Amino acid sequence: MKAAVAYGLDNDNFVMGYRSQTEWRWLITTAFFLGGLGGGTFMVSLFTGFTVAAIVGWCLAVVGKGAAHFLYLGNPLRFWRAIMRPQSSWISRGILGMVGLAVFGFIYILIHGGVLPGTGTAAETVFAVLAGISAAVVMVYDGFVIATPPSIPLWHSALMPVMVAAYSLLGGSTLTLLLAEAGARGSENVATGNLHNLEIGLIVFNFLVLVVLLSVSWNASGTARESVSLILSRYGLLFFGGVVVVGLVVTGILAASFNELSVGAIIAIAICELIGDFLVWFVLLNVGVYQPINPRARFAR
Amino acid sequence: MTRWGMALDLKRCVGCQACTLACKQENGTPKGVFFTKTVSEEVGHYPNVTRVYTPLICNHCSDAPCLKACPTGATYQTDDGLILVDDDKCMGCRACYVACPYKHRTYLSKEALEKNTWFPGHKTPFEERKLREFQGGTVVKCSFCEHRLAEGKEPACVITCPAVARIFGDLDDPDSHVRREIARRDGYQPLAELGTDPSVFYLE
Repeated sequence: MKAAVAYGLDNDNFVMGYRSQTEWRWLITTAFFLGGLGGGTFMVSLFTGFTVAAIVGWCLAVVGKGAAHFLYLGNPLRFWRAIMRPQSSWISRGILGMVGLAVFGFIYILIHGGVLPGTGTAAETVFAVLAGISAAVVMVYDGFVIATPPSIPLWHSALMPVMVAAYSLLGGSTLTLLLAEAGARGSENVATGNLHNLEIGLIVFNFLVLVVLLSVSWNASGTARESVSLILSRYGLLFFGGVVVVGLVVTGILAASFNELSVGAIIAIAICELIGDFLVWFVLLNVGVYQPINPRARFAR
Repeated sequence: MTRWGMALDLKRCVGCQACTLACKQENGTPKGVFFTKTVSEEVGHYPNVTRVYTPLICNHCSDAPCLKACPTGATYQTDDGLILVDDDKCMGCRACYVACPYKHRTYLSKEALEKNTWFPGHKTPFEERKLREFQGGTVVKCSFCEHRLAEGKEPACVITCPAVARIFGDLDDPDSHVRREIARRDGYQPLAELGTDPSVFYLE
């Protein structure tokens, strides 16, 4: 018997069809966004030596992301159980990374900021390395969380962790520029000279990754194509307007003329980039589509 | 070693949803929650169009993505291959829900468990009794009626099916009815290409 070729987006009625991912929405979008932004900012701060950025990154990743996850959980008081299965679960690994960033990052900030003795010693380097490894885990683990299971074809891509890492670094460099140039610099001598070049490079890289991800998904399977169709239609305005135009094109143009920019323009860059950063998560999570479980489909090929 | 499994006969299934109702009655699942159901599909082209039915149930995969994704250890696998959820350990992160390619898990919010009753404002005696077995803020799923298996009975959906479209048994026993039917009729697993090794097979 030949199966139907095209399915609708059924959403769990008693009809065969594609089914949307309906559980991970606003709070998880916020958590993933803050985790990437905070981890990226902290990571960039390790190379620039910018204490304020380290503090802001730490707060976003540990407090902001942690709070968003905590609010999302069905039984939040059991959150401590999330570290129980690091051998298989990327969430467990990520939570361990957050714990590492919370502890090592805090000690690093205290030492680097001169609150604790040891500035410029091996102890600071050790804690910087440990905090950096933890921040790297926090930056990318969300990408692995959604890319590892085969459930949603659009997400089940090796490009996903790469894109997440690149967006995290982009957000981190943007926030560092904003903090450094728009008032928080204070007495610190922050080397931000190359950050806007890094930002331009990451904007181009992210644009290419998005193009490759969507084009590969379009041709990969019917389910992945359904997800891409949602991006192009229902979420088209958010994706093209928010992610591509505001988040990449406008940000890129502003960043390319960085040296001539006022503080106001730098704030505009940051806002544009952060909007794009948030919306890319929002769109990707909302267009997650599961395959139809049609056993007869194998006879239709 | 026992590995519980099920064969779903697509030629026999008439789409009556008796399995769906039997499951709801046996497990007392809240309104809108189905551990098993039968979906329909129109196939063919005019004038040769027909409606076909596909029963769906948790596949209790040997290599279950939900098991790997669960960060708390709430999802676990028994020695006889069942994938179960320990309500007391589930923190409601829904990673398993997202990871299951078959979308056979359901999140039960505390609000829905309290308020989403069949009659607005109050619970029926059946709901009062059965909903106590669920915890709000956790993810629930089919257990192949584990409590019935412990008593030597088959799952409720299997004994209820009037068309005998569901065959249940030990996949590791080469002489079991389910195993022989799968072999004889070239049974196949849903979305087998994902490598999850489901314990549910379809017979065409």
